[in-house]
Amino acid sequence: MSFLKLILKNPFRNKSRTFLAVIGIGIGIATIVALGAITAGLTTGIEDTLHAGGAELSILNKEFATSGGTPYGTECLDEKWIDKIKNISGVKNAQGVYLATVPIDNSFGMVIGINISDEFNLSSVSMALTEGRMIKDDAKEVLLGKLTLEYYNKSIGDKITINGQEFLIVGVYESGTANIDSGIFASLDNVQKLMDDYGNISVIYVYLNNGVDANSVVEKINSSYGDNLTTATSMADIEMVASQLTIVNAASWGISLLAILIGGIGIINTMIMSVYERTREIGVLKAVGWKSKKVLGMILGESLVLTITAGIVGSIIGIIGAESMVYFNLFQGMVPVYTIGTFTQAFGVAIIVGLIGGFYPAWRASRLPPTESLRYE
Amino acid sequence: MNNIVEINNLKKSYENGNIKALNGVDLSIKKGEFVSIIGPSGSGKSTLLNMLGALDIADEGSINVAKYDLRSGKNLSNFRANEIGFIFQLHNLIPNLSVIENVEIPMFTSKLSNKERRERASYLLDLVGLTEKAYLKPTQLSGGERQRVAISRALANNPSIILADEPTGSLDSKNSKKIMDQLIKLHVEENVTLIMVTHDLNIAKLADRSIEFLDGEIIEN
Repeated sequence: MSFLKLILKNPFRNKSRTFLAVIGIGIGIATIVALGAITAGLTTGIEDTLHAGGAELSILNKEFATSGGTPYGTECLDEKWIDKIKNISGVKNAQGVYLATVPIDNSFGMVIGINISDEFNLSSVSMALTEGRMIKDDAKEVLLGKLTLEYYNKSIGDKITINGQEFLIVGVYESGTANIDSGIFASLDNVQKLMDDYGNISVIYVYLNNGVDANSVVEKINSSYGDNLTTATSMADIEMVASQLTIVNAASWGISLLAILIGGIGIINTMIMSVYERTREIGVLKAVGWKSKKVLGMILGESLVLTITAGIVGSIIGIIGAESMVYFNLFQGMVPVYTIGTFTQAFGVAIIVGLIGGFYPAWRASRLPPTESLRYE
Repeated sequence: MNNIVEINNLKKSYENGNIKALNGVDLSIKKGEFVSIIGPSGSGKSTLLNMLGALDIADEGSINVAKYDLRSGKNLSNFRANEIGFIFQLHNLIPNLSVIENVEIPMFTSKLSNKERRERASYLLDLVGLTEKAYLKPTQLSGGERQRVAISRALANNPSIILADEPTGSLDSKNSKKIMDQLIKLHVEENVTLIMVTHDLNIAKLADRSIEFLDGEIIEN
């Protein structure tokens, strides 16, 4: 038997108490993992939207982007800006897009309005029409993303109700990006009508000529239209979105810390009880020559075993939780992203709780005088 | 023969001096000797055993065991690990570990590999006739068998002295005899100094020498 095996065996003597301690701390870890995966998923989704179809730049209404507004709504950006952007040197094409989150059948989803007459075809923006045909500008037709088709269990030729109006499904597209593939493409005109928001768009995607430096175009846009428009090359550029994610992150940490605090107290309690019950045994270990630091190492190790087990259990619960949120469609189009960072954070917290929670009971055990321990009943 | 234990004017009291557990004890024990310590409860015999095992420190006097100055308070863990094997009245085995793992416990203080520890534990269980029960839990053994496991554990690090605190105290006469036979056999074969506290005068008579305690003093040696 190795010392490690001894440490691994001891915490599971009292299975029900260990189970409760592991669940206590595991809930904290699950919160970190689930909210971390969702935050990362939201970030990735927004990044994907900004670069939909391989756009190098996204242009948003400055006021909306910096003052808590959202590009998913009405009266975001006048479509007259599209032509102005197209005229900037270095710009190959500018595509006005309307992004709207609306009721679709019995759920909610994202509809993407595109200007069909605007030299737009799917392959030019890194998307593929995998089935059916392209929508016509003047018909009430839609293209469904691959994931949307699966989610609503539809096929080509079926009708789908968007914001109370029926549309015919004429084709299916795939981009390889979950956020985009969870959407529905309709003509810009149709979406503006759906939203009763004529002449407005949400965002302008800008495609540059080969060899053109994106920064130089950004500078030109800023100098000419900087009062009204803002450019974004990454999610972090959009202060509003960044601040919302900061709030989600802060909430995630808040909930996690609370859960971990409660779980940590559970660990301390479990370990103190364990040390109490094993007082005589610790006396024997001292009597056979174990040094205080070895006893301390054993108890601290047992505490770490508990919290690392909780880390594993919590991670599994967290993944199940995040996937359940997707299954029940709590975040439309969001796909949880599991990063090494999230799990490092979860296990880092577990280890720190294990060390802090285990230290006092371990120190206490290591200081027990052998004669008193051996007399303990 | 060299003295392995050398005690002079050893004093120990508890509760601010109100209880004098040892009151000026002088004692020498030769290497390889079997000494029994008898006396009524509270006479100081267990206190002396704790002093000999460095589980407690004396207030006054000197106590040298196997060349360790136990009043200095230094290297006591090393002393206990290398020189002393304890056998308690209630065996004190760890319930969730198997018999063989219990015997391995003292060897965690040595530099033996996992394999070497296991081999030595097997050898020691063989010495007390418990090879077949090596992988059982202590709760699956009889009282006598548990005490034999405790003897194996006491021998784990090749101690020079075995301190036994009423090792037959919780056993019936048949098992007591078995345990004593085992201890005496090991004492002879391994040349281990055996110091044993007992209430049982018949068992005390088996020793080379008997020391009687009363009120913290040796009244007969």
